[in-house]
Amino acid sequence: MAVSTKWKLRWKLLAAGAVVGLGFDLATLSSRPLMVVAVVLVIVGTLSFIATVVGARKEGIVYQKRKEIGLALGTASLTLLLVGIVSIAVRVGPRHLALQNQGYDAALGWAPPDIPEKVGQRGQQIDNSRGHVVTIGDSILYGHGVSDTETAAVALEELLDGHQVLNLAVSGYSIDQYYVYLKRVLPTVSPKLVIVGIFAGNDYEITGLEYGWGHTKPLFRVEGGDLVLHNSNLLADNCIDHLAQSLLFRVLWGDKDRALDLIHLFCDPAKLRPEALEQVIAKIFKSVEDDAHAHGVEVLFVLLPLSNHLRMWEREWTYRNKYTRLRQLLEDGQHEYYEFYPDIVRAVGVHDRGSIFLDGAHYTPRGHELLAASLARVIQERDLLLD
Amino acid sequence: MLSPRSFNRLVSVLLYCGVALLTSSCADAPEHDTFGGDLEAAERALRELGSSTFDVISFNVGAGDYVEARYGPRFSSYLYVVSFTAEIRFVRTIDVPEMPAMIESYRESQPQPSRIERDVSLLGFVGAGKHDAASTQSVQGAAVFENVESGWRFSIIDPRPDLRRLIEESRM
Repeated sequence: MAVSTKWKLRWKLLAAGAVVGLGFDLATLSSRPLMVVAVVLVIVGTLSFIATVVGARKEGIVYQKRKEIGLALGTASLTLLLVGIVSIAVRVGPRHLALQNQGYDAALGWAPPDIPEKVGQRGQQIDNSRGHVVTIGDSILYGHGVSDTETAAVALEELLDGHQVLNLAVSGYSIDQYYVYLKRVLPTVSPKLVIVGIFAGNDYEITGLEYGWGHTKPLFRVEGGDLVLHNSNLLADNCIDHLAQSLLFRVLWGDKDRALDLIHLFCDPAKLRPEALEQVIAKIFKSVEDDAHAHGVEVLFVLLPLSNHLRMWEREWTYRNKYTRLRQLLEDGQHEYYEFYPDIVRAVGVHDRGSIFLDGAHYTPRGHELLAASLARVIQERDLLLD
Repeated sequence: MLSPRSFNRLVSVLLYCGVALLTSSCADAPEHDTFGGDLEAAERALRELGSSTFDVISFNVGAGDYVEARYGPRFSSYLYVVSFTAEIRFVRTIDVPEMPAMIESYRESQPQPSRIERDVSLLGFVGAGKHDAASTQSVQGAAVFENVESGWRFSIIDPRPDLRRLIEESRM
């Protein structure tokens, strides 16, 4: 009988602990109704635990050791609470957001440093003796995973006689940041042509968020036909930067989805719905073109696919990215654009994706070479670089 | 003060309430609107695909279902996938190549995206091989609509009627 009572007690304690655990697990999901449930479960589970201990038979070990158990639980809870507070308060920067050759920026979120005669994340020296072509985009055109000499920009420079190709692409940027960064550098570099790489993998989605990769970034809305910034000073203290760059998140970024869930739960970042977002993207495409034309510069948008784009016989990927919507927006705006994927199909078919893609998105040195050749062909066919 | 037994009962009641709340929260209201898209857009898309190749004689819409296509960290599209069957008549004789032959043909030319996408769709709907002029064929597929602020926007027709399952099972 005594054994049965002891096991009954153990099961009660275990059940109460499981309820508390379930509550903490639910709390990490970014759903407000579930958060309420989570709080209820944590409270109920804790009360149940206390009740089991307090209600235990007086001759039982739990009752006799109740003060020690209470002290141990209290100390553990307090320590956990203190560790939680300290780990959130201490800012160390997110491990995954590699700010190589970059610093925090009030207008862009993050940007390459402002060094005279140098531009881009690779700190490229400007050669004023030559005309310039500018490439702008994210890690795809920046050349994530390849060396300074293996990027599409370097390969393109070799194909465009007498021009310097300045690689202004920055890892993690989205369409809004292309626009803001281009606006900043256009007067300094005076290019003849701007090539904007639109990556179908996430450019659409991140343009609709006020953060990208654990850091605040500009978020535009269209009001009265104009682009209006939702968040003007990105260096101001804010929930997203504080949480995402905390000591706690240095650990949590190991599970990116869970980390982002927590950011959404605690910071509730602004997010545009599809039609509002597409209005913004369309307006940015037009503004990029208008600004460039005001400087006498042509603009060529290039749609950069995910490697899944080549799985043409099974089109599930179609529903998991916004390639076709981005293309429609470029088409509707009558912008000068072209698609890179047919050149990949032509060069390597659909099975040898590994020779072009390092991963699902970034290019191998051969992929960069192919992109450069493709760009050079389109520039020549469309007479985009007339002297 | 409550006796330990009463306290236990109170806590049990609270526990049951917690479980009940949890159960009800699992049945969250859907995050999409009730479908009200333009189903005729699917028929128009099939006619557009068939222009100069086949006519659509009849077009019948079947069952539809909601599907959330989740991708990347925290991104998703709310879709409505509706199956359809259609009877088509070829207006000219065509020979649709198998996928490898089709891909090979692109190596010899500078293929336009529109051509590639039409070739792939045609292969999916009518199948590879020779299709004689005036012959008829039954085709099936699914039409996809996306939930946006103004309602359900037509996206695409896909030659696979079991598309909903494929989207749910697929991963990037």
